[in-house]
Amino acid sequence: MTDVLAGSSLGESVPRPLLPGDGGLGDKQRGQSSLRLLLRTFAENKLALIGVALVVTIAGFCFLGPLFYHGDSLATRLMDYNLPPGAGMPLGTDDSGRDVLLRLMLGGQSSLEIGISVALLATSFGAVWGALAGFFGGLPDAVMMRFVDAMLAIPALFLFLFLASVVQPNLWLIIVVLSVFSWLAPARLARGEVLSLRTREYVDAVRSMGGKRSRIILRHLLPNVMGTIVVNATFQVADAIIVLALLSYLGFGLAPPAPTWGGMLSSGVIYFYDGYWWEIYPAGVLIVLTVVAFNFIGDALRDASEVRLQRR
Amino acid sequence: MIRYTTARALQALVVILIVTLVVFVLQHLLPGNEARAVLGVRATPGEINAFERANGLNRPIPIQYLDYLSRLVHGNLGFSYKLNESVVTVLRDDIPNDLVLVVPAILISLLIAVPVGMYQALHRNRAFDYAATGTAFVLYSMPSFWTGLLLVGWFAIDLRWLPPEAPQNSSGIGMLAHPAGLVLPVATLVLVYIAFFSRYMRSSVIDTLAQDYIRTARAKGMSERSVALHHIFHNSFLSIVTLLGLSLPAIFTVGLIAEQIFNLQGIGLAFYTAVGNKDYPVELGVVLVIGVATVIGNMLADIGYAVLDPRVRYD
Repeated sequence: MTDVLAGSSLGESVPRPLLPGDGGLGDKQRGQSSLRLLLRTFAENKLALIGVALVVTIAGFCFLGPLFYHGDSLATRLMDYNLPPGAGMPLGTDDSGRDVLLRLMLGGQSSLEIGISVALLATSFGAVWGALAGFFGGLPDAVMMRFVDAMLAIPALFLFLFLASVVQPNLWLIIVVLSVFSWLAPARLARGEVLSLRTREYVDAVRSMGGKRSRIILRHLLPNVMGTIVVNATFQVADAIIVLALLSYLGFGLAPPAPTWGGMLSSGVIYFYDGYWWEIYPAGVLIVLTVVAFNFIGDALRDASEVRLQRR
Repeated sequence: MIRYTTARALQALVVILIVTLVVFVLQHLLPGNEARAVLGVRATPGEINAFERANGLNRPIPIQYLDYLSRLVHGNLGFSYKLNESVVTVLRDDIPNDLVLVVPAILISLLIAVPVGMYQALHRNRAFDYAATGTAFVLYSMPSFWTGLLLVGWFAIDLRWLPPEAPQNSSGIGMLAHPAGLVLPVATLVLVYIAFFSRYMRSSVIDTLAQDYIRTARAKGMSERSVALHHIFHNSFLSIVTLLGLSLPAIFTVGLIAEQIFNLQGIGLAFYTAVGNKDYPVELGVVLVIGVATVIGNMLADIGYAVLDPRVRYD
């Protein structure tokens, strides 16, 4: 449940009950990043490789596919609506006579672009927010983190629908708004890590050499939090793609005729009775495969970073 | 324990205040002004003035926030001019329907997910573990509306076993008199929740297995069966309780989708209808109620956890 269970990705490690001033992952300590060990452990994980292979294949299908498979996805041919797969149209046409295969490719582009942009924006903002809160501690920390708690209590989909009822969503608005509700989990993770890192010797060393706070945070704390943050970003991509599909279903995604997987799926399922399987299953299968792939990668990255911690 | 409870309750109170502040800010971000929205485009400046004075909209913003808080404390969540009834009335009519939908769904999914997740963790990397993990990943990754609509397609349209919509002629507890109509909506939620709970239970049990007290229990000759029952199940189940508190927003989100598919008049559907009508008071009322319910749910889960597991108490 996605992200919808936003911020509660499948593989997230077991959260302990929230205690006042709790550091979350505070007891996990992190040393120098040994990227090679992480990559090796990652590569030993079969699911991880499946995940990477899936993402590469799907990205290739979406971004390179249209170079080889031509057609005008936006052209409606009202005479050719709901055609079954056949010559020239491997997946038939939709209810406006548009080529389903080509729309799948183009819809995938926007899903992946939005998912990845949201993950990048949300995790970077969340990491900085959490790092600042953890670094300063005390009152600023309390205020910043209670704000995060309050935002976590409000379901993102509801707030998004509210905003959509006020303004018409477009690509950038969707990215920004999805990010606004996705930075909370990374913020908590980053804060927990920073809480434990800020008392480490190397931070004292920088401080005693006269290093500024900004330098400590940007050059020393954030890089060490990166592992956790990157893992979370992977789950964020998956969650954003599902939320995007839900929004399209509810009628608040990208405005038509822009193709999106969620939009194709929701306009296709009404033809269940007629048995137009090409409008019901392919888009859904692509969403599932993409989300599963990113979850596999995230899980494996997290396991790998834990192995790295153990061997340290 | 009293200290922990007090600290946790105070923290919840602060978070609730911030939730109300967020909702208040959203209210004021609305385009146009409220008087114009209610009275329509033909209202004269005089009428608008009078409306604003009558509703305190001409007072300074911080005072308006305090007014808003005092209305909330008195149980006034605002008035829907579109439906011509108070938001509280809308919610009071709809919340029982949510309970009839969500409570059975949570119970059924826990009944399935807890044993499955535990079995997976105890027999890790065997065929069943892989199969269950794969299923959970797929269910988790399916957009919930697709899950629901496929269920309708298979079981209501193709096989004609079950009605494609929730019971329409009754509400609340009355719906239980027509259980057939509830099967598909509840099943939609169960499929989504199972994926989530079973994964969580699995990782929680794996965490518990690594604890020293499990080794101790085994070392003193306890049978695997009673280790599993008395130590592992007990401790992992506790963390599921906390998870329930944390997942309220997610539960409402999937609820909205299921209510929309099966035309079940819960607060999710009320919210969705309000979005279509630009009925902002209902929208913000629902957001506020879910936000506050989640904060309280988290607090109760934490306190309950502290009662059951003395180690987590703060002092």
